[in-house]
Amino acid sequence: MHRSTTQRPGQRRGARRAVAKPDRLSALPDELLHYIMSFLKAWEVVRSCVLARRWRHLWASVPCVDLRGRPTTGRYGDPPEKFRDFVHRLFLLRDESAPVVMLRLRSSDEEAGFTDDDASAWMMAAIKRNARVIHLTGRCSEIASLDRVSFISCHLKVLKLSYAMLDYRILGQLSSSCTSLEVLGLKDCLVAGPRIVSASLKTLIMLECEISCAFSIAAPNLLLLHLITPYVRVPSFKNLGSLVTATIILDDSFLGDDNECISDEDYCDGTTDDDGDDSDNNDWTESSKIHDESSLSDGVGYDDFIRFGYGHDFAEGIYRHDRYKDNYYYGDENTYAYSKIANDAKYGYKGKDLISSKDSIYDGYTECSDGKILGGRHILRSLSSARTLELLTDAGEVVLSRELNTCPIFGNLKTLSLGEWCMAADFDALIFLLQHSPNIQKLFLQLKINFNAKKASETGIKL
Amino acid sequence: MATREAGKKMIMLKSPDGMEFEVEEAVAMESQTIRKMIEDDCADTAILIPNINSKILSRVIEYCNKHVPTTGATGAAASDTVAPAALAEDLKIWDAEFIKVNRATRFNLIQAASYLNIKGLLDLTSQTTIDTISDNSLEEIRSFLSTKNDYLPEEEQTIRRENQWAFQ
Repeated sequence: MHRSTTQRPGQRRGARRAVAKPDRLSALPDELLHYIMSFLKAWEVVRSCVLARRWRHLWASVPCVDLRGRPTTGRYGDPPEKFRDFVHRLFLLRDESAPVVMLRLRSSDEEAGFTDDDASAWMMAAIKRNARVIHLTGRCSEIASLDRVSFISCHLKVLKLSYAMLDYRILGQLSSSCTSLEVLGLKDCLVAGPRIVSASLKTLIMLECEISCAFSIAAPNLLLLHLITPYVRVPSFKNLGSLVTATIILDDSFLGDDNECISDEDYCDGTTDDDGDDSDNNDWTESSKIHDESSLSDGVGYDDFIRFGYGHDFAEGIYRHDRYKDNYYYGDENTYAYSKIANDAKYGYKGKDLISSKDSIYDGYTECSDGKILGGRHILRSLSSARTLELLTDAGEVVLSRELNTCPIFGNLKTLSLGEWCMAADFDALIFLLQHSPNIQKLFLQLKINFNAKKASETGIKL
Repeated sequence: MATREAGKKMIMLKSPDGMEFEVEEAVAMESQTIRKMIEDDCADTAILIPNINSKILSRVIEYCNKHVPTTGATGAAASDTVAPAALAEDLKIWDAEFIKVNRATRFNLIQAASYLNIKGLLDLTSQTTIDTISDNSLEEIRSFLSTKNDYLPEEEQTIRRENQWAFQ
């Protein structure tokens, strides 16, 4: 480990070496250094080459490439000015045999001078180098186009996208050409295709995505599902026979094709800034923590450089990694903040897109008799195998109430959390669901007694 | 939450300097390395943890003790009973306090987390290390890492020139 320090250059200092402290970091094996370096931005990783001989070539095989900028300035960590050139060279000069296990990037950045197309090219470069984890953070001002990316890979395990458009082609590739895809996280994405069918998918998180046409998800091995406030339509599900944990939050005011008419006031009513922000982070960070089995997959990216393989806590680590980084460095950016301006901008975009895609391509097809509230057909029935179920919608919500007609027996259900919707008409829905849950152990009612309170008050009843 | 209420199984961990720590099996199993030993039935009486002195080992156990309920084996059920957001926040604050240690201890913790394969602790120590580094100049980083610059001056210039594309 200390071989380098005993060679010629250090001789002057060599005399003092006997009493000097041991070179602590250099005592660590390469793979652990790589691991620590995975917390650095890509340019910082390359710059580490001047630290000492040992570090000269380490950067070229670091498995994690983080191309996201850092808003602070005047520090050692300023990104290169010609960022595009930098990334180009990075991929060119990296050790070819070293996989890019994890790629994190933004979809475009005017300041750094790169566009959607550049980001797409970098994703392609990573996919070519057997990327297992790709996190693309979009910008809320515009939905990123993935036109130039082909998700064709038998290595890709975790894909997280925000503010990106998933059209027919992308959904098709995720279905049939990503045979190892286990975790799909979509946040504020626009889904404009009919279906995703995946036998490998274990975790699906859809956070405030706009579903612009009838969309179905078939994933026989899915273990964890988070469907949080879909816009326009509720997706439908098929073959969720392995499902263990599901969280469904629906808000009628965002559903339906007359969405454009909703005023800003109404819009913000549903997601107050604080609430939105908090739950948002939680959903990203907690999602895999909640579910042990499914989270296995998320950690896979790291097994290359951790000696002892990985355990089921690894996913949490990656999410935590996220939490540290995103909250810390991007806390003031609007990616994760739901400011009114962001809402307006996003909403304006989505509203426009809605009209064109629905009318021209999908012809406004409705699949339920309610007319305005679209989708979600048989949603309860498809959740029948769940052990833990959260159905956290507000009072007067339509889709779930409607679906009670086709309510299955929840034979595995142990823990059920319900929002206010279940209390209408003398607790009809609540009673009905309990009657269909023979093995239930815990029931939580999450009631928004004070709407502005951050936490919904919780009532726990042990049965 | 993670273990059955009655009859919590205890595991003895021994540091090379002769100290013994009795911990709940669930706590010890926060370490994937120990988990594997237990699952493979290689841990009947006491487990010797090589290379980790009692001071560091006790800190590691402290960390595992704090973190065990949230990643309990019952997973989903456990997280339903406590508001996850509050819990995560609490842990974050605790972590921040926990990692306020001197450099030597932190490096020892990195090594211990790596050997014992405790992902959360490895992330915490790595992130903290990086956070400290990225605020500093190159020379400070070297001294912080106790990494000796073993390049000849002209050599360092050459390498800098070679990788100019990353420094501009």
